[in-house]
Amino acid sequence: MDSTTKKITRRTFLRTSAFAGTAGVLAACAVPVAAPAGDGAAAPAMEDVTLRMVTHYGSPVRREFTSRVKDIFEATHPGVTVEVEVAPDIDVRWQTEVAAKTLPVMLWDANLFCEMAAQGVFLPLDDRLPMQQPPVDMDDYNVPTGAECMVWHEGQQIAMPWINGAPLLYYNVDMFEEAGIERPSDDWTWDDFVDVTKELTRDTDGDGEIDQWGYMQSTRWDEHFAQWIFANGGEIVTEDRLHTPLDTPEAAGAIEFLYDLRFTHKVWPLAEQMEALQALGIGSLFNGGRVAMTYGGTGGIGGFNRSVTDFTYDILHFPKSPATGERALWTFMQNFAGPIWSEHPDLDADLAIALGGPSSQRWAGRTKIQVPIYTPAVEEDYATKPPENIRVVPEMFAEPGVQHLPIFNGKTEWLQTVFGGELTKAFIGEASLADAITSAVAEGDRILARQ
Amino acid sequence: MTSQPQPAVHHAGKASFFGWWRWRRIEGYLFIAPWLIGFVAFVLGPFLASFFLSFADWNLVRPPTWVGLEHYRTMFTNDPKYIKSFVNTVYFTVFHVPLILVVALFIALLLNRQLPGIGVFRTLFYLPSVTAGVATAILWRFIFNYHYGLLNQAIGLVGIEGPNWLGSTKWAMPAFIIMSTWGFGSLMVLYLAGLQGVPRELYEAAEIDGATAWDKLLNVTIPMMSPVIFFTMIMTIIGSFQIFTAAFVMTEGGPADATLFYILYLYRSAFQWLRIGYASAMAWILFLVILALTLIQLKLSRRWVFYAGEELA
Repeated sequence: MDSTTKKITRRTFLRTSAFAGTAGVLAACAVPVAAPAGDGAAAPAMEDVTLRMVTHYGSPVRREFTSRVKDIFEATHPGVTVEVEVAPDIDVRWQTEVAAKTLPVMLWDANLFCEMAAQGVFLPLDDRLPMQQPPVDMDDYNVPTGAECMVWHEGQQIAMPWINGAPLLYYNVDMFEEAGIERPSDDWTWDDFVDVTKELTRDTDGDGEIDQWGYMQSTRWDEHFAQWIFANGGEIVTEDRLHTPLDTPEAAGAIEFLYDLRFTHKVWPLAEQMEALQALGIGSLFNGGRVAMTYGGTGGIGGFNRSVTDFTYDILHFPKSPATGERALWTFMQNFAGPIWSEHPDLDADLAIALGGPSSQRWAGRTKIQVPIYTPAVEEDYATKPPENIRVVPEMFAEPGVQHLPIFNGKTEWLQTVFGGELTKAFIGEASLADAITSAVAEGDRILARQ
Repeated sequence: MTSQPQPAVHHAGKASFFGWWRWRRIEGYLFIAPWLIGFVAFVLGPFLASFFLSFADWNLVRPPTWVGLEHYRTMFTNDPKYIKSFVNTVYFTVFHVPLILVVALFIALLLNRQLPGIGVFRTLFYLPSVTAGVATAILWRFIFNYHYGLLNQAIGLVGIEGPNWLGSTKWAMPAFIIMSTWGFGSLMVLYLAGLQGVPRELYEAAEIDGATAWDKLLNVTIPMMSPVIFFTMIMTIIGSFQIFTAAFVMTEGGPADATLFYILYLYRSAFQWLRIGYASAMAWILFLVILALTLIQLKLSRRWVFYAGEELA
């Protein structure tokens, strides 16, 4: 071999490859460093900025909402692009985003927001509020009692309220008419409710099996029980957040009322009956015309207006408790907030304000994706037909005693264990009601004691 | 006659030798550096972090607070759901492991023959084990449907009224045991390979001695397969302690916590309830339990696992 020719040995090749591979891995992990000032490059007149926004609702109307806000925001903020992500799994991902300090402007529920606000995670909005066009007057926002921590923290406004959700009673008008039942009055009672549901529970095809029921609801969350418990004079958690008082006569009486609907009066389909119907492709028993009344939320009106085409639906006031002669209303609030570590705090603050601002509120009211918190939007945009008796919603909010569902640390574990876990055992026939209430109280107190 | 050029050999003194040797070591580390960096960053680091977090209270929002052995105490004295999840997981393991091993071995024995088209059957039996976990779980949720599911329809043909599989606390776990058995394909493949390795002369010798098929199975096949069976038993036990996807998709731990498995409860504690410290403690207890079981099995294996060339103890 010519001594001037260097032969590449296998070892040399492998050694070089190893160096190249290691260098590549380290380069990929390298953090980009900003170019030092005065390097001679001219700075652009307006730097292109990308903001991120995440929501966990992906229904067509909600996508339309975020798309609309995005378009308007980008038009009024040249050089700014808003990336919208619909992430149904954001409930699991947001912790990683907090730890990595990449959390974007986000739609928040109450369960975790206040605890995070106490840790200083959110961006103050006060300085940006006066600069909005049109101006934002927070006096027009009806923040429910008990939800103040979702808007303010230590005197600063850290979120833009968006909607007030509340429970609603939907009913199938056609079924009522076929059964010869008049629309219940606004003052109807729990006893009237039982009578109506019994009349509407029937075997429509004559095969000996019930295939139409008077009522149904979920038992998964505190909100599904709270409506009835509050109306009966009970509480789901004490004010000091140390006890779960579901065993008081008021609370237990309300739970028993619901239990009897399913197992005594049999007007609410059993779990296996619901599962069987769902296996047949009837996803929603109310939409599928199998249930005359259903417990839903104010956020369902927009969806029902679009999806319920086979029958006429309407909404009702909840019946009044015989014990108190009253009904109750709880709400849950959602808001928009940006992170304190934002790279573009003014823009993120503007985006959060735009998402909850008057224009967005009015649009939410017109489409009825939820009840706006902005009072003019409720009166002028939301309270329009359909449904025929949309007046029920503003009347509900005008009644005294409207309160936000309790907010406290560790609430998610508490409500999933107490309601979705222990109480549900009775409603699926796997425990007696008394045992379920006892274990729900015990488990609830155990979790509360840890906070 | 030509001679091949010889690589240079460095014998120029002790200093040069150690320099060369150190360089070979550095070279070796550089080769494994990419893997090593990934291992430290994504395995060892989180492993150690979870150990320290198991002694702290942390919800990702507040800074961690040291609580010592509080989580471990709570698990065993003040958390009925933890005990329930542990018992459920053991229940599942006790029935699932023997069943799947027996089924896999049985099918492997059936498929261990040279017949036209046998490959098609081997493929068909293997396919379920490569189906995505979520898709499998959704499929079985339909199969177990009380009114319209395939299983109840099938046993209804012989006059048996099937139970509410996934809606009954009594039948939910048997449903999971049945469902988990259909993934026997990967074990079957291992057993097929093991069966191929059993020397034919042993069977011939047994036949000469008048052994029946059952005698051959018990005295030739299973002893020769014992190392493979031992390996699959350990891996199946480890896997069954970590069942998660099916419960998460099909029942979410219900009804009434009947299918609340250990990992599902750990997941909830960590990612839904943000009790990172408590979940870390749960993870370490699981690790110790699986380690203990594996060591016990290794010790007991000397009595029944036969390696070729050894005598049975």
